[in-house]
Amino acid sequence: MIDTIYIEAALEDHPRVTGILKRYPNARRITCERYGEVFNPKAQNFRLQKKKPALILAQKHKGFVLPAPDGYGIGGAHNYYFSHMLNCLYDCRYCFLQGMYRSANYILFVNYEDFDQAIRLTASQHPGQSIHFFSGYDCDSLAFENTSGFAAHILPLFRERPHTLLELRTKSTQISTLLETEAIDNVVVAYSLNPDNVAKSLEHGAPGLSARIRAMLKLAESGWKIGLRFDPLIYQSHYQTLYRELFKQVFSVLPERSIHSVSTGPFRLPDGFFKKLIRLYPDEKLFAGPLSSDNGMTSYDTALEEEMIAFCKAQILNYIPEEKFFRCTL
Amino acid sequence: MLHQHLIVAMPIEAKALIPFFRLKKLTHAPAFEVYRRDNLWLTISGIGKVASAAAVAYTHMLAGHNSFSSWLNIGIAGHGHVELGDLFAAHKITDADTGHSHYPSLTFTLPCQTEEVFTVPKPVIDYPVHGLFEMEASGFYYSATRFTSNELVQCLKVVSDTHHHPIESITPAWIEQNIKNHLESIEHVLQHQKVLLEELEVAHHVPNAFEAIAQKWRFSQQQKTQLQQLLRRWHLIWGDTTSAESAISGCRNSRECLQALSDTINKQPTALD
Repeated sequence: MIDTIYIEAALEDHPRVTGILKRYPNARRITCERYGEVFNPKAQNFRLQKKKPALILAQKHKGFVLPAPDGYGIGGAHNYYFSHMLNCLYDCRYCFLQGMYRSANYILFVNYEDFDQAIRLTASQHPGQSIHFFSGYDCDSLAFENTSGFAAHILPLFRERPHTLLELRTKSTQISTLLETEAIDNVVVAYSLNPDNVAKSLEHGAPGLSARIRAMLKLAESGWKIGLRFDPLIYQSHYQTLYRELFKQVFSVLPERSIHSVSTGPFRLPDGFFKKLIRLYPDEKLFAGPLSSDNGMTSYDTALEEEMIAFCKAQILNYIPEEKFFRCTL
Repeated sequence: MLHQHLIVAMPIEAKALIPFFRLKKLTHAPAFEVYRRDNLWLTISGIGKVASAAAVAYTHMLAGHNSFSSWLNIGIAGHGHVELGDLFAAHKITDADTGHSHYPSLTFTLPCQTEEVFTVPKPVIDYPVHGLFEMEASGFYYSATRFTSNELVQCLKVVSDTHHHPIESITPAWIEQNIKNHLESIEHVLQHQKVLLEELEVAHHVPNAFEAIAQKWRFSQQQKTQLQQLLRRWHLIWGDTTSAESAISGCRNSRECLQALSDTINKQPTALD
């Protein structure tokens, strides 16, 4: 799967790097000084690079825990996110990462202990208040877990801090780490879900809807709290039929008591990201749809967006109480 | 239209490639010796990174500064620790003068091992570190990545000198033969570069209706770009652009034309499958 691994020179003897390299004995190893030399040059084509992304093992130096953008959250008083990895193993055509980064290579920051320290510090700054941490904003939280072991590393930290909440956002079926761990009340495994035809058309390389549902069910049966993220909502003429069917499929198998929260959000991208996506994928049907720019964001027009969210919310509330429903307004 | 470019430093390196790819010399290229057949170009740059960078820029302009181009540098290099005649692709190119490194993206399976390449100003005979030593790659790469993305820029180097076979022992006949030995690998890289280029070219295809509509009214350059984008969207939704003509039948100018196309498209729901 990974043919090329770039390693920051200062990390060559790092035990986590050594362990990861053992998993890929045949990969070519290339030393660089800083990951930016490989990741940031202008002359890169995300679309072409996505055919065979390399792994970059790097050290993060600052910004371990950052405030989550306004409108991103599931009811916490304080919302933060952290990214131990940049870029995703999957290739979802609607994803903002394609517009944000020049490179499709995966960066894994191996200095997990610095993340630990930043999380501890941030958690201690809000005593007695609900504080939510989101993982999986710049990557999939679990898809690379077999190699990174990051979730396994970070979970004990949250078990010791019950006043915090950790969301692991994913589409992955790599759940063995979680199944081998006793469920933690303040950890939510949140699955991004879309109708099957959207998953097949736009979520390239990601597990299919049925596989995700099976993974969620296994996690629920092991006591893990599940988050359902119907986000981004993708418009099609028969979207009501498709989403109604999706909700039925998910809620009919997942016990309500296992569902921590449900959220929806529209398809929205900053104009600059959207323009880059059009340049990368002018042949993508999704971008031929009824999208327009407003206030620096490209999205479906407001009336259509509201119609879709209202419809989906009404359908979802047939299955869960309203206090579990959140709307992402990012 | 896509173009593929080969850049070599010396005529003797080109000698093995020209007959194999059935290239013909261009008579209207005074600055460098340039050969071509259809979309495949070969330029003899002369020795050194500056010459190589200049040859890339010159060939790019000569070929019509096309958006879709791939670049392949083929040459010889010294190495202290590998077999004479072996072929390597560059996975890192370090300019010995500046210390600056470039990292070609390796997005397809290569037909050979890869190695770090050091571009030096003068021939190296002691091979002080592990890697290939040559004189063009950093200039070639720097220049080529001004014109295309780094997935489409590769360097292939044949090991011409080692500790046991010093640089003085290289003969023109040896170079020609050892480039010939790797023609299949060179073709392999060109073929994979072509596949990538074709994907981009197909994705950016300008729909047939564009020329006819663009001639109806006066479009600014920006409006032409908008027209191309709208016609691509039209093509994605309806499968072709013939029906676009009827949508703009009542329009009186370019602005109305763009508005009519946009309005019609935005009313149309998208089907993903």
